[in-house]
Amino acid sequence: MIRWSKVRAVATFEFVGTVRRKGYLIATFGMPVFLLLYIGLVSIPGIIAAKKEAETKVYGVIDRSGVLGMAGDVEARAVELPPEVVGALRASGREDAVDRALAWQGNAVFRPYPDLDAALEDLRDKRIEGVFVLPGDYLAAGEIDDYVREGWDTGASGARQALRNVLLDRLLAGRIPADVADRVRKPIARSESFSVAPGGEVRPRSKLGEAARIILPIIFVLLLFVSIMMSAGYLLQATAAEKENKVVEVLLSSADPDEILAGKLAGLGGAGLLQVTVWFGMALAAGGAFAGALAAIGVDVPWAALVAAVVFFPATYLFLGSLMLGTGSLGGNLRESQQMSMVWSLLAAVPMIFLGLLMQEPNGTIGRVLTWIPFSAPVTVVLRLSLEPAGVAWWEVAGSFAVLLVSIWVALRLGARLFRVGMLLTGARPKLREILRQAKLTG
Amino acid sequence: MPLLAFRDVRKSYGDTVALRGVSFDVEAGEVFGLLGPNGAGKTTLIRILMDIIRADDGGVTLFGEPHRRAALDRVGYLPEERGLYAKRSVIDVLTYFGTLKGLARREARERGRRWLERLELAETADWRIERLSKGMSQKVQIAATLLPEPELVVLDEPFSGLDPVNARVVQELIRARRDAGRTTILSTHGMSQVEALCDRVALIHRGALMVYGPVDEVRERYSSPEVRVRVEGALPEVSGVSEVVREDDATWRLRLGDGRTPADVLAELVRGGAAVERYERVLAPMEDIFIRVVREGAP
Repeated sequence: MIRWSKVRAVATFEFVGTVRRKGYLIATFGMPVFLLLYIGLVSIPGIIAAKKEAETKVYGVIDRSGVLGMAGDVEARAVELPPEVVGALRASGREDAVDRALAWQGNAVFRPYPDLDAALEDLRDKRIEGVFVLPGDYLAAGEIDDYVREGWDTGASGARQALRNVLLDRLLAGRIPADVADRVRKPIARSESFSVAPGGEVRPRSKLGEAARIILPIIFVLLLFVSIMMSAGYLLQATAAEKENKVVEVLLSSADPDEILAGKLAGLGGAGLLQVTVWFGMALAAGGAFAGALAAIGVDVPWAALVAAVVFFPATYLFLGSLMLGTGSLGGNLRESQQMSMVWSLLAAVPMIFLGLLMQEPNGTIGRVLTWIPFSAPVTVVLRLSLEPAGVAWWEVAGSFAVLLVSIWVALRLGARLFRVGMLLTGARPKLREILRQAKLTG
Repeated sequence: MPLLAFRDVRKSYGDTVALRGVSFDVEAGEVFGLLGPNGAGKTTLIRILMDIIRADDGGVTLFGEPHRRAALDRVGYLPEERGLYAKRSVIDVLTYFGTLKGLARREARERGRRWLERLELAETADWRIERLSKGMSQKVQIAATLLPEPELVVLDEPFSGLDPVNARVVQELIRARRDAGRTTILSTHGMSQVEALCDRVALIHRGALMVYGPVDEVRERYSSPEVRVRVEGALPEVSGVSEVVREDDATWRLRLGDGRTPADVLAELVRGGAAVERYERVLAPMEDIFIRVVREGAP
């Protein structure tokens, strides 16, 4: 029978020891700061480029075909963004991004030049960014030449697109009815998509919303998966340290292996949970507007999946942690412990291998089978509930969780037995036969 | 009723027999020496007592009841292979070991500080363990073991790594426990410590109990009939003495012949006019007994 005072003593010691460690503090509070710094760093070239793009860029044009009929500078027409993107950017408070994106091609100005020499001289002197030459047979051949300065010009393709729009305007003007000309310029002015649910329900379809609906659970699942693996890593470190520090016998003389195992799982799991909470808290605090953006692009928050995640992941941590701690304790040092417990990490990663298939057919045979395997159940259930909740029966979720609970009990027993053996094993890495022999002897 | 009783305890590791039916008692309030060469089975016996491993057969009675894990909160254990959490502070480690033995956290912390003061380590309370010298670390381990004031404590080689000054400190702690009526099992290879501290001993060899009983009785059992006498002046002639060995200017060792007792010899010495300053029975040193039993493989 487990004595909870012992479990609490072990848990408190492990929790306090872990959360005070420099490595833990750096990972918990430094990681988001590091990520922000990294994002800031990688954004610098983009910001500089965007600033550069925001400046008015002048391109010289020598129109030998006379198609453009330019009497002076011509400003290029802006290209519209998809309405969903505009909505999401505005909802997230990124008005500046919308304006910048919409204004981008409006900043291209085409200036007529009488001859190529004059245009090239201005190009060399950096008064213009490029030169386009429309030959006399442009209408028949559709070919143009362009000149830029040596080096990489990030605006060249945009300028070509802008010139294409100017040409389209000029070519269509007065030749076909105005409404047809409009359709040629913009064949699909607006589109609205609908999705049909298995139950026949027709709903407006949002591509961005669908993408977010798929990506968000994956991010969520990955974050929790990483946190479970990190917590399990702390478990291995703590156990390896105890073997190296030779405090094992004192521990085993004061508490049962089950109690030590439970205490370590609770204490180090708590430290892992605190870490994830801090990360999520920081993410929520930093991206309050993110929720607005999700709503704007039509993402339904998959509440059932979130609830399943909250219930399944602590259970998964207990299940995997017990097994990892048990096998990890057989190693003589941290490296050996990690090698010996790697098999559980690989099994837990099985749903990731089938991720593509699961996303294509969440409630297909693979999804249904993986739901009943304790290693893959949490990720599979959460993904299925995110992608196609209507296709997941309640008894599947309940049954899967029941299997997981039974597995936790078995894993705790097995983990404790291996833990007891592992803690007393010293010297060379034990062979399977030796482990089984010791397990029998210590029983 | 003994505080601790082993009854016909047997344990094998595969084909290797570690304990061959060991039985002995440890009485309340005594210092009990658990002796034996390396690999004799002492650690196996202690691990069975501490419920780290289970016996194949036989029984252990602790505090008058069949062995239960809960009773181990009243038992302290300082294993031979020992260490501490290198990265944690001294007081945190003491508190942890105290709470593992059932003390409340605050109580364990207070006791930890008191023990550090008692062992002249008060300034190290907030140091990391890795900063301690070997001797300091050893004393902290002993403090961690004794801090819950266990009724029974098992000390496996507590003097290893200690200088004479600190060894004396630990000896005093063991004596203080006896004075307070608490029981100590001392497993050591230091036979002088056994003679100085232990009331009774059990010597195990190849998994079997070879010698068991009060230290004086055991020494008596293995001693030849000899006396040591210190006299002022010359040693008079004494009858019935088979051998006389002069140890220094005033001290002789006399081996008594058949039928002669130490009292007879002393009376004859006094009658012969010897100014006896000191007279004692020469008992076999525990070290000699240990070596003899281990070499001969028989009691």
